[in-house]
Amino acid sequence: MGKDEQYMNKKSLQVKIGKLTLKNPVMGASGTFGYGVEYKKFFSLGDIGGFVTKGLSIEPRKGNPGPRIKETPCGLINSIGLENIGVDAFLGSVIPQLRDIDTKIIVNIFGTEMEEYVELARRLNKLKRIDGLEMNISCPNVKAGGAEFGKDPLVVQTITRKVRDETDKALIVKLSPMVTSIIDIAISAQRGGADAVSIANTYPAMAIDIKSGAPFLGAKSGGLSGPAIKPVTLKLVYDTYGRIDIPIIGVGGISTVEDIIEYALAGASAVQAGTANFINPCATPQLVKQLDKYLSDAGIQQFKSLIGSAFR
Amino acid sequence: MKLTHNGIVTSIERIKRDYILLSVRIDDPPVFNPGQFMMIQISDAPNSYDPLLLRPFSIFREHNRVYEFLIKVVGRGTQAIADFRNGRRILVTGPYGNGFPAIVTPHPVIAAGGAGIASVFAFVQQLHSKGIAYELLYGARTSGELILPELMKQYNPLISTDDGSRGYHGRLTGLLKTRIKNNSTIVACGPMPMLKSVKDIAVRHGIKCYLSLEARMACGFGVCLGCTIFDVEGNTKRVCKEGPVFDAREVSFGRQADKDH
Repeated sequence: MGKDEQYMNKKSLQVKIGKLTLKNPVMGASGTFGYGVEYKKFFSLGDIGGFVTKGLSIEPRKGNPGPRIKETPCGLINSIGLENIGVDAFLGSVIPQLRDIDTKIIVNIFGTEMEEYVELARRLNKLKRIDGLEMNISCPNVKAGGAEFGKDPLVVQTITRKVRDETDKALIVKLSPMVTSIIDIAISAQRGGADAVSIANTYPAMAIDIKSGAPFLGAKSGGLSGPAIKPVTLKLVYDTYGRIDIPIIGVGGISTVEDIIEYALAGASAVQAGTANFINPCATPQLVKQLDKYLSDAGIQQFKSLIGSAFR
Repeated sequence: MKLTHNGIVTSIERIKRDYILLSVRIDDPPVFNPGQFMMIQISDAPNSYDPLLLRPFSIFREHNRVYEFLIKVVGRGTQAIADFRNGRRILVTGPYGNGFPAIVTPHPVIAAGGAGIASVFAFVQQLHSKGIAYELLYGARTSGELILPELMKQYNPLISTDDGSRGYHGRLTGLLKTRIKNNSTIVACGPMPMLKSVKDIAVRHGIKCYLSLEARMACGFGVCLGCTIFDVEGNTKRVCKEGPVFDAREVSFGRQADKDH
């Protein structure tokens, strides 16, 4: 086998998230990837490591009044308000369209009460096609529950344990960046039985329309994403690495292959690209290709050898 | 059909003070329906991500693999486009959205207010080339603000100006009232207050009416949910996916419409 072929060997990109083996570390982030099916017309979903669906609740939600988005320098504030089709429609109309897709499918779940998370986990656990659950305990766009769950270590441990008891799937907890100590919250998720943590969600943010003098967004405030937040979330990953035994999935402003490398060096075992999908729907498969080339050019045999190397 | 394209800017023509006509060559040209739109990359990514998002524009015209977009310069993004240089390589995605319905006979009346001409023009062209009779009503505040009057001439527009400097003196909707018949179908694009009046006229006369809406959107293909509107029944509709062309009966002109204009 020639040197190039050796590096092209898919195993070089493989990573493990709990019991899940991802063919590569690049996933699409929740809230930017629809239910996956929307991307079928752009590329083969089998090219990416996995994707996380739009946050799903038991009942469908219509979301917030507009305007719902505001561009900021290198960033995007959104206040979608967790609009989603609800679990019944997801099981009935989306899952059949995902049957033949050769990638890991992670369903993001949220509720305003613990019992909703538990019920969602119970219902989704029966589905073979779903590989994992990501608990959103951190969205700034719902007033009840949501972010509040994510701020109290004991609550995080309890809710994670309750969901853990209902599911055999890989269980990921998506953390809020707006907490006193993200390490404490990550430890709580681990104690609750999580297989991994996603660090992190968007940052509470707003814009004011100086002509009207009122908040720009219909919901007044939202969550900031995009390249603007990358250095901030990168530090949260760096701070948490080594303090927990479960893998970290880096989520925050990833747009280039260099961003992926930085997150890996900081301690992320895998990454999710979010806002980048809006500015190029083929962002995720392109990142996989660029990552493969990057490793090969740098003579790095295994992506996973990079994880946390900034500490060495 | 491929939905992501490498485009090359072939010209930026300034039309009046705040309009430009952007031409982009796409070597793998997609088929589109009039009323559909494409997303245009503005930033110099990956070197710069500012302005971050692509911007949606109706396809104004296409010939020989060159797609034209008539753009009103209103903010940072559109100003950055106005400053593009020929030869710039940009990502273009789409076409997205539904476009205008194929059949609007027997008596299509197309009402374009101001920049609204950008989204209905391809439709007018299509009717024209198919030899289908139509009426084009084209309104602006003043004759000086009419965009591309020479190009429009061949489509025999009935002009309205708010100040009476050309054509019908008054609002476009005033002119519209004088032109519709029982069998008309209205197709309209323009500012929200105008579209609201157009809908009222259509409802009062019990005639079919389609409105092309504008919205802020991040993706253009239905995943960001940034452009979601609530219809008259309170159901969610994505302007990029279920629209941008809606049956006027579905469109609710609530608080949102007031806020945007």
